[in-house]
Amino acid sequence: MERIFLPRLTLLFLFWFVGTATFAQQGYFVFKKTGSPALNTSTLLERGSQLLESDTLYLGQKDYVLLVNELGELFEITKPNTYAFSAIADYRRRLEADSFTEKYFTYVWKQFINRIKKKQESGVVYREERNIKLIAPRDSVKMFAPELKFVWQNNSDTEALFFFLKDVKTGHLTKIGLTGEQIILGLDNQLLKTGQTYQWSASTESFPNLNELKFHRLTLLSKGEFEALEKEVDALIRAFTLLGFSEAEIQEAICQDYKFCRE
Amino acid sequence: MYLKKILPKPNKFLLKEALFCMVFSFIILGLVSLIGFNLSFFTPFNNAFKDFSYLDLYYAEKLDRNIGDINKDIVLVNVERLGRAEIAAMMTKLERQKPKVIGLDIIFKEERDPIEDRALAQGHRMENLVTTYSILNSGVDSSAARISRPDQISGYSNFSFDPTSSVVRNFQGYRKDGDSVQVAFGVAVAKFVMGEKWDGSLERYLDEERPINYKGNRDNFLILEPDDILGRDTIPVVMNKIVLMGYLGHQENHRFDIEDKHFTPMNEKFVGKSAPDTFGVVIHANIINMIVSDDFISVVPNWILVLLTILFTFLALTYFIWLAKRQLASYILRLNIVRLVFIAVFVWIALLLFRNGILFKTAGIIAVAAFSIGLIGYYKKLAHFLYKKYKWNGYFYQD
Repeated sequence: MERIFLPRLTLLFLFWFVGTATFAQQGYFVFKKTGSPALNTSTLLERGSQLLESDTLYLGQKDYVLLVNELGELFEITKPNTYAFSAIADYRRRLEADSFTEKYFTYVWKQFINRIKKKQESGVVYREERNIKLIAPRDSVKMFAPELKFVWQNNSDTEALFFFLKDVKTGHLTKIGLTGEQIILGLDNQLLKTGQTYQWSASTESFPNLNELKFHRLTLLSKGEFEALEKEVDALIRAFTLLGFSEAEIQEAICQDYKFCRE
Repeated sequence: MYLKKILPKPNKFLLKEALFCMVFSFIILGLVSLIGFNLSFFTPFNNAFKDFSYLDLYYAEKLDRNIGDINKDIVLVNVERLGRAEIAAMMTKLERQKPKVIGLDIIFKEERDPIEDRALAQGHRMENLVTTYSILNSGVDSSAARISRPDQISGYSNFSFDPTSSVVRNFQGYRKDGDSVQVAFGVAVAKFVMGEKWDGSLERYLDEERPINYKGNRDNFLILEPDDILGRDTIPVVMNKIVLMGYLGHQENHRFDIEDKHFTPMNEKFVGKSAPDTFGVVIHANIINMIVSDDFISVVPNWILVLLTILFTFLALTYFIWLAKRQLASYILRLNIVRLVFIAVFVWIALLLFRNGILFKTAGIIAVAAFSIGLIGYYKKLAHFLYKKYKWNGYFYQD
């Protein structure tokens, strides 16, 4: 028994080793890219470029690469950093769960209750951007709140979209797929921390060109910073109150002009 | 106990009635079809449904399991609006990267600038090149003689020779033209790639129209744009790959481009009017992928469909004749609910089978069963007449 088993095990191991080595030699190919990701600091990556075992990948701010291996699997890297060849395997893109029956019967149900996609057709040419308009928080504002409500207006024909939140300090980009026109995130000390500056945006594309995507900047104030700012604008608030403005109008004016917003 | 209430207990008269009702509905259906085929009055109805298939739901609602997968064997090269000199330069550059084959889905019909044509002719000398031609009603369109080689491996770019459908669901691999046999572009490329692995039985299989197993549209293939090729010394991704050169529109605005675009089951809108969805070269890529990876769609034979149609129609009629006899107030409601559930479940089964590579055309079964159920009322009148006149005993009327 052992005499048969051992040679087979050795052969199996050899096959595995040779197989692994072969795949490793094949490496990754660049399927898509945005920005200027580089190979070994000097060579700029192009579509179709190959990454081999000895290569190191460099991603700067706003760079993005989508790599494909010999098996057709996708690897997506968005964060600015230096990546050794072996580290790329950790960035395998997760595909949406296989839920054929659920998808089908959801479709049947929508048909049944007449919740079908309705689209009005108009014969006109648009010269405005038919995409997503960021509403709140406004660009470059400072805020102090236990939770933040990000609001946008979806002018596109696509219902599903992606919300992007970027930590300016670390460059970490979070992507959340959703439908609708708002998302509320709490200050959990993970995704959102006080004292940090963020950029946020929304796009109908899963992999938008981050260089071209419009972001709003947002600084989350710590309690101390908030209280200091409150003192600064206190005189202003009192003056406006005496002039007969309502509290909401005063808050709006301060948010617009001083970029200090309550919500 | 509950099942006894909702399901009929088969008896001789019920089964006999169901059988005769089925024969009656088949005769009516036959007459209606005959009228439909022969009267031009029905042509608009025929045309409205000829391009419809429940299975298109599979791609339209993204039920396929290939979402996000990238084809690893085929690289597409976009020639966009380049001139002949640039295309020739791209061909030369690509050949240096040692691809398995270069499939050229472009016809250079007329002779133009002699220098550019000579450059193209030079490109056509490569051994691993497969070119194409187009079969038209008026003849054949192919590249000019001074560009292509006489012994060039070539295949027709037509997908199907069925003039009644505008949706590219099927393709024909071989076509007999008198004594000669013509081969499709996709088959010619696949045959070149497979070399000795090419099996003679494949030729017999592809002799007839076969469904295309679509694995993806433009986004599921690596597409190299002219800048990705002309401005670089090496393109490692091309090595040992199947390279197809053709028109894929502008990389940013290709969605609004309909040149060499065709309707396929992958269209997001599976009923009603829409724009064509897939570039010809992408359809060829799907065909080649299907042949090279031996990933064909098996078609459920017609005799099985006929048997299933008879079986399901008979079962449905048995149930509804039993229900009709009971004269329940809820008869119409039950009829509609069961018909709806029957259609939904049947389409689900067909889609599930399609997902596993089996083409099971359920539309005929659904239509015949639903139509037959609708005729029960008329059949009852006939049964009443037969009973009155000839004392014919059935489930509805008996002594």
